[in-house]
Amino acid sequence: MIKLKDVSKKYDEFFALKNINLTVNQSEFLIILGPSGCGKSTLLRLINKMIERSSGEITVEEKSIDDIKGEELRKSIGYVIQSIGLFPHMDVRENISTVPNLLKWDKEKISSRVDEMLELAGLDPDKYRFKKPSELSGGEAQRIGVARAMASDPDIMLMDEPFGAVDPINRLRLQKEFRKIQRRLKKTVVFVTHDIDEALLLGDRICIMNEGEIIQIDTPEKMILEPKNKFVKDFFRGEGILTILSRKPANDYAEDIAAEGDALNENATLREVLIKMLITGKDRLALTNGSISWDRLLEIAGSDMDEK
Amino acid sequence: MLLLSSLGAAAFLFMKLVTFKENRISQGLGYSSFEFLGKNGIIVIALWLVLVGISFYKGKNKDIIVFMTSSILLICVFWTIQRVTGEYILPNSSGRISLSGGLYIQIFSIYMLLSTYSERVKEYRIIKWIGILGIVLSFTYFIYMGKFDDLSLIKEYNIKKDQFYENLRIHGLLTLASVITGCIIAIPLGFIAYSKKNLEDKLMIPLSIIQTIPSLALFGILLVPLSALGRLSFFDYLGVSGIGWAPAYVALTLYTLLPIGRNTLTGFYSVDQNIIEAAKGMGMNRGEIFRKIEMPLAFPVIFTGIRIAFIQTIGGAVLAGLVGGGGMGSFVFLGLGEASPDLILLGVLPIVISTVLLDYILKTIEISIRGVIYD
Repeated sequence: MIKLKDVSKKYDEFFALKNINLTVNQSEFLIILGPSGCGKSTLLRLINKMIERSSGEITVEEKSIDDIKGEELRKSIGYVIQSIGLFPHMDVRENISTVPNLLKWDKEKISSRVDEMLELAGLDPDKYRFKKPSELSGGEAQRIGVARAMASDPDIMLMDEPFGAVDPINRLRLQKEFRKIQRRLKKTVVFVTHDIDEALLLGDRICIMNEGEIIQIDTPEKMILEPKNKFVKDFFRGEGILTILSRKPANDYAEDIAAEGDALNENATLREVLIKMLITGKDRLALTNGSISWDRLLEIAGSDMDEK
Repeated sequence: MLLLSSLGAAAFLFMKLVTFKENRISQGLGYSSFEFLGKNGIIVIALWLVLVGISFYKGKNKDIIVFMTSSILLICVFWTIQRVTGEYILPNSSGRISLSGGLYIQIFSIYMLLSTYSERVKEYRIIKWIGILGIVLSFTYFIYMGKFDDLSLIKEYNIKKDQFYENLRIHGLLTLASVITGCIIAIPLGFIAYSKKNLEDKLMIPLSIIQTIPSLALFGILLVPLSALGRLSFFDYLGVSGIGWAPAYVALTLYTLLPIGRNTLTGFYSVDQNIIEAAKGMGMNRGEIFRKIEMPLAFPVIFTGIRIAFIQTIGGAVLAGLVGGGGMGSFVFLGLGEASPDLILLGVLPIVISTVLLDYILKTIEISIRGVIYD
């Protein structure tokens, strides 16, 4: 659990962050969303003491971060940045074992952990263990980056636009996979992005920011349906994925496969399918003329994003 | 290719190949190729013409043919010369043969051809090694059998054999010591300039200024403080004085500071800030970031600086001869004083050869370091 109370960050006279109050619950996937320069990365970096706050209180797992040395704190929190920052002179194995090495785990534990992490990231350990970062594709490098951040099994992960540099198709796959991993391992994740689709797809809650202040913190559904003010409304009204999905009748995309459960009504849009899936956690929903799967839904959303 | 081979052929035909001298200081008598070599010259000119001919040929094996012909030509040039030298010089006389312009231009042309085409025949390893081994073996044979003893360069060498090795040793030591001292001073300096931005100019500008001081002037400047130091008994014991090895060592060290320091700075700057950010974000402290991330990533660039410093110092160390510091420069300045080009060559040739060799070796190391780090 992470708690921020009245946190501000000032650069000279300029407030990068103003009176931030925020609680991230255990095992929650919290998205920090906002336009460029709204202070979202600064907020993230305050939590692991990459930068020092000007005022306010931050506690991580009930302990004030002032009582912990920056390096110790950072070793206990996973951190992924957009540029990944894999160490080019180390192979995949050495990269992933960075934090376990700093924590002085014994060799065998590290080596089995590396394999475990590679499998978690969906990469064959025998094939990838000794590769250098320069031999990896963007998507693979990003997987390794996430695996590296999770190697010491931290309860908390801070992620700063981690999938921003990956192509749209791979991004969607990575987002989906990471969401599954997060659910399974019950990690607490604070995830910074400016991508509305990503925010809606991944977040348990979304914290929307502008000019150093939090505007609204809510679940994705509530954020769309009950925007607190014009800024939030405008922010989501762009060609967001939900808007796109809400324009498409689900029956047009039905696949000829039977599915269990009640069928959605015949006028349902893809947006309702998505929401239903998010709520029920089901991979496949029945429709009046067949059924539709999660992957199919992602595919449709993905193809539409490409068209633009 | 056509240019080089015609240049070689023309040099053979129209320029003086060698100069015959009664003794070291006499004026000497120039000989053109055919005058000197007689019938043997036909072999050489034939090979040159073959090369000229091949440059119009566009076959598949052109590279190999050119490489082999050039190798054979190089051997032939010296083989023919050593065959006839005996006819000109009476045994035990001080007469000698100096190599002249025509020969140097031929050697230059062959060198250019060989270096270009040895690159192109890379895939044919056997061919390449046959060529290189052939040249090396025949030269070793010529020298070992005393076939070149009448060439003035070798004459000078034979006279000054002991001095030669002593000076070579001093030259090597001086170079090595200067570069090592340079590393010890300049690498930390470069790192400080990198980590403390406000010091960067204050540290780097003096290094550039040092580099612009002509070496002769630098010796002059060093003369005063070093002779003052020499008065202290400890330094006197070490042999420090205004002349000798001390000013040479200090000056050469000063000259290594810029390449090494500048490359250290560049090396550290070239480390991607995102990588450092990631390292910090994972909980590495300052020392760990330096040891595990910055130093290994900056090292190839720093090593390039060290290589440049080495190459520069080998050449620069010649000036040690001027202040009585020994080294190959002794021969150069002796030769200048006695107007004996061969003596100068005796000093310069080993420097050129060792520079080329060292550059090659260090470059190979550098590439392998980069390979380890980046691939």
